[in-house]
Amino acid sequence: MRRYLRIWRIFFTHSLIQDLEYRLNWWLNAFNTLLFLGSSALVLWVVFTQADAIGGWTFDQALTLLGVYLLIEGVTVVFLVPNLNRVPQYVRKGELDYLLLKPIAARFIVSTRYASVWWVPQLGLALAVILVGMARQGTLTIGHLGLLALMLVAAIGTLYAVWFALTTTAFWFVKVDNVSELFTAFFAAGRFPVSAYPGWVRALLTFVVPVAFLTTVPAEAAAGTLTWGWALAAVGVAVVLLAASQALWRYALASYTSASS
Amino acid sequence: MTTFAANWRKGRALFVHAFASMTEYRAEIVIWMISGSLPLVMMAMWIGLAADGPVGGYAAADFAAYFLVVFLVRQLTVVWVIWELDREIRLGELSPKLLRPIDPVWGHVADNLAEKAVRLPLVLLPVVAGLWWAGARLPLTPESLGGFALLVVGAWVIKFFQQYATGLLTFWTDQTVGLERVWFSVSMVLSGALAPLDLFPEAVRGVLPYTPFPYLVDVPVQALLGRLAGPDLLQAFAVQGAWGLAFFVGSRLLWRNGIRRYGAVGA
Repeated sequence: MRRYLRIWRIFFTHSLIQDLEYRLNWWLNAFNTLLFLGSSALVLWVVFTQADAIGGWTFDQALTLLGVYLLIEGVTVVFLVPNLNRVPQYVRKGELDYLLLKPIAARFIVSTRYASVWWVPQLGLALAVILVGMARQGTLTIGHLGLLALMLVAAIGTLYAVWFALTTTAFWFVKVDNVSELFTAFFAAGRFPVSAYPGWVRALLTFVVPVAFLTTVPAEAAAGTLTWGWALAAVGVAVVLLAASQALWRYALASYTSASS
Repeated sequence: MTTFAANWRKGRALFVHAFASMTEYRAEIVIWMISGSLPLVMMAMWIGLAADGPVGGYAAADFAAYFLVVFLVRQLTVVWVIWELDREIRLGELSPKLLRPIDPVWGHVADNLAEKAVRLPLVLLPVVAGLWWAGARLPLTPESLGGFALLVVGAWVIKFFQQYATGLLTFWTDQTVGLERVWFSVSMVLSGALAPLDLFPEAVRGVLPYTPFPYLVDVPVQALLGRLAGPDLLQAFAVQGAWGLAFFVGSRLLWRNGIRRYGAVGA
């Protein structure tokens, strides 16, 4: 475990040094996140001039949800995209052979080797929005923060498991480079609480593509309206999906025949 | 051979070639279509809001009609030329293109139009099905259909030459993709893709007519919904045309100055 942490630190430092070459990007991305936040807030404002609540959520709750959305998206862009988008290429070009030879778990290298450090400002801004939203709701307590943290970990686990499983299909379908586009399209629904949508969309976002567990559930934890049943379900979904993605990965490796031999 | 005939032949050759390669990307085009589905998410949210009665004058079916047409307009005006320019200029892939007896911009235009020819039937089907399913009725008159078609072409012209101009900035800096993201974030909201512009606060609505953004989505949508007709429609053509021309001229100027720099780098 300590060894893996140390290796991850080396990976991250390496990415950091590489990205420091493009310092202007850092500021552009920070500015862009601010713009995104401003435009999303404008849309929320437009919505709330027409209605008192969306799906039973107040403005402050919806704002907190927006922070959660930004945070999860930020984690995706910083940690998941640069790694998982490379998997199809590893398989197609046979580069996976070299990763399998390394004396650490191949899944670990595949999942953590790179990081897009320039997007880190988004994570900070997202946290600030969440904290402001919670303060305005008056739910900024240790208990709520703890539950929020737990739900965020579960959300990231679920997200990672689903995305990792989707990229693992590259072993059979080879050309799945566009999987992240598909994911982004569905994830866009996460900028509003699932209760804001008509019934069948809500069912789709809860049971088929688990967007509800990525943003709605953590935001409910922050608002103090999360029931224990949903909290347990969120953790359960994360654990089951992580286990399933690991099983799929092992099965994929077992049937991997390499492109170069 | 007259110049016109020669240009026609060149254009046709470019288009035929582009069309053949685009049909190979059918599956990708479907995925790119889905990746532009944010207006449909917004539609679902607004329909949810309007479940207990009209919101801001829009009933659920009105929101369905509005956002399905928004989706259609955005699909028909998708432009990705900045990614091509960014790559070609940075990696020197532009060099062989400069040897051809035709300006590279026309190759990109042909790629774009060919892609639209492949995309159009793929997009029309779900939009028409959605409109029918939501019970939304469009007043399909020659005026609304013709106005819509022209305004969509105009919106595409603005978007294409705006992106082309931004992409040409790669001659000076390698951050153009970031700049385009900024433009995209702003235009997403202010073009009416996320919320109908007539629901915006007064302060924002007052400024919008002086920007190109409404002409990218809102104005064509209003034309097809039959809310833009007569003199207003003619005025929309004129203003949109002026914006298109401005971005076209801007991109020509950037090209002329930039290409000298490109040569100077020795690429």
